[in-house]
Amino acid sequence: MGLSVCHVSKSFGDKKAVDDLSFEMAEPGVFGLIGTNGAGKTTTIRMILGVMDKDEGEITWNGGPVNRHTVRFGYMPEERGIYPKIKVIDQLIYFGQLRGMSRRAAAQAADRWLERLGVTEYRNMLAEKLSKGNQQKIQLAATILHDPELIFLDEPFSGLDPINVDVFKSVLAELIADRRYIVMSSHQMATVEEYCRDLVILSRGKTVLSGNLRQIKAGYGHTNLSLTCSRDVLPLAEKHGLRLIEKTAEGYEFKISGDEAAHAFLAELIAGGVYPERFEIREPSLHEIFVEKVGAAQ
Amino acid sequence: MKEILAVFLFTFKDNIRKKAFIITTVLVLVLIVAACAIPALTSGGGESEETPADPTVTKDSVCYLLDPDGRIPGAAEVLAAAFPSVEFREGEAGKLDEYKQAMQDDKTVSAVEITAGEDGLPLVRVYSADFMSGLSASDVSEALRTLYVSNVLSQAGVSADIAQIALSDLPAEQVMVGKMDISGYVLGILLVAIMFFAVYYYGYGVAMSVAAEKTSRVMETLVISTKPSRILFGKCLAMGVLGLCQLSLFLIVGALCFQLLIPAGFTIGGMPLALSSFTLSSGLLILVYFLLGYALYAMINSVCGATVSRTEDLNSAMMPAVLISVVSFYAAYVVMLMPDGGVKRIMTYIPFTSPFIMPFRLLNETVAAADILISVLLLLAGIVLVAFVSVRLYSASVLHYGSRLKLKDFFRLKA
Repeated sequence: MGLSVCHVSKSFGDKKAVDDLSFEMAEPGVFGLIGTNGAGKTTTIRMILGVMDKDEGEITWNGGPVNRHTVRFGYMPEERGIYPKIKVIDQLIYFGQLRGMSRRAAAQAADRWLERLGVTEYRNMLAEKLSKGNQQKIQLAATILHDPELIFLDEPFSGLDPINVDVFKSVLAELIADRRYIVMSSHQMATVEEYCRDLVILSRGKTVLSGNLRQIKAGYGHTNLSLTCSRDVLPLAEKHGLRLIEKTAEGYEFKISGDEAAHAFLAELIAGGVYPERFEIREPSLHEIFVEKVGAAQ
Repeated sequence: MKEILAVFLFTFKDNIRKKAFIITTVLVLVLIVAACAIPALTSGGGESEETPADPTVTKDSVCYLLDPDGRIPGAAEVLAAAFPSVEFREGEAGKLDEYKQAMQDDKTVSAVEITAGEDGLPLVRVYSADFMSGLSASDVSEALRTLYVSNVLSQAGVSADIAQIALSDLPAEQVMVGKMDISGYVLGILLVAIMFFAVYYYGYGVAMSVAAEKTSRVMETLVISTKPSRILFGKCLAMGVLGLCQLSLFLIVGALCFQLLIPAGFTIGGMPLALSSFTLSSGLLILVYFLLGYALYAMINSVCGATVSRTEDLNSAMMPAVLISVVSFYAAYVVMLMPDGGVKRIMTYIPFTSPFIMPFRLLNETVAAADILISVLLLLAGIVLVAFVSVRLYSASVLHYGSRLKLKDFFRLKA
């Protein structure tokens, strides 16, 4: 049954922060909650978590209400928040205890996650002495140390260096393998594409797109051609009706009307002795879908 | 309950380790010990006023006595006995201007002139450089009065025995049937001041703790971990217990210093200092009022802390709470010294003022049991009401960031 959000709305004064939002997360995995700043993502998460009342609609977990008694949830907010003047281990134990763990269990779980995230050496340090990336690891440990079933990650990778991004991704993969329900909000579309099976895109509180990411993309069909090639192929591309979207150091990104035009273009390239290093006909990226949908809505 | 306990222990440990708390505690303890040690060090025990004149006392000033007509014979001896540190010299009336000039140059010089006054009484005029130096005219007049009256009676043929009786003060004794004595009065004022300090200082601690959690964005993690009401109660409880521990330490050290350092028979203004007004029941009731009064104001302060996004805005956000506590404190302070029992009773019933007025009343009056019961029940009801409203406002405002919330904003916010 999982998490169900049904026709939920919330207003602040005259401003509608969330307008008739519905989605369902029936299976464990990662659900993407996407939107621009101020689209209503954080308000949605707060309503699901029960820290903010909704004006209308229904939110359920396995058919029942969502609260601390029916589901263990963890939340990593976009604005990282840890006590700067408190030792790392002390605050992790505190957060564990607030979520119903005994002091001993919280301490054991905290040590386990500190080790897993490679920050055991900072166990007895004040949090303010840690780098931003390491503070983010502590925040992640605080979010999941009580073994939550439903996890909300708001911009989990922002501000992380590539090494730490990999650490976070490996933890995320573990949580997915453990069949946790994860709602992820992110502006990094590549990350969302990598992990999210289903998603909803919000713009100014309204849902502009919702559903299974693979099906959404399939619905668009093959609209893009990525080409890596050292020769200037633009005149030939234009001849075949291919529209240049972007020219990068990697090569070309074209908008195509169908597979046939791309195939004819490739055939003529090869006939002319030009052998591309990469030739990929693909669906639009989530980034492109997002820009198209949100741009149209605004 | 487990969550409240976790918040309580975390907040308590966090605050007891803070440098500001440790420094304040040490500083106040040093002040208490010093205040108790001063009477022992000066070792007069308040009895120095009665010390007889010592003829070997060093003379540090000079006073010219001008009595050209001999209106008070023997004045020089009497004044010398009354003011042992002053050297009295017989002056000449014609040199008064010279003496005045000497006073301008040297403030230790003064002059007493005795001339004819109205109704045939001698007029005592004291000259000195300014009000800070020289002798007091009233002190000199008082010192010479007995001598003058004695001389007059003697000249009128009154025997020395009768004159002695006529000049004696009537024996008098003040017997107080009420509870108020100087100790109870001083202790009452002190307790009310401590109560105000506790309400302000520890309440400020609660507000600061809440504001710091908002500033560091920990609040968002906290409110999804447990109910906001549990965070609020845990915090208020922790700061209250912390305050109680600190105050208990001050009182214990104060009591020990009182026993060990204050000399036996020490008096303030001639009144002995004692803790007789402090009984077990009054002590327990004062403790109850401390806890309830603190709880009432701490709840209000926590909401003030929750309305700000930056700790810099905290002082202005706390203005309403400070205003309520200051007005209540001063109202109670003024009324508790008034003889009118009606106003006092009303203040006893008002939850905001009762924690300030009741410690004084319990030490200095016999308060009816019914009054105490009604007062405590109303205070409890006030706490429940304030707690209910505070939890709602706290829950609604802890996740608000941006401009500081104003009172009217609360009506628009929904938790």
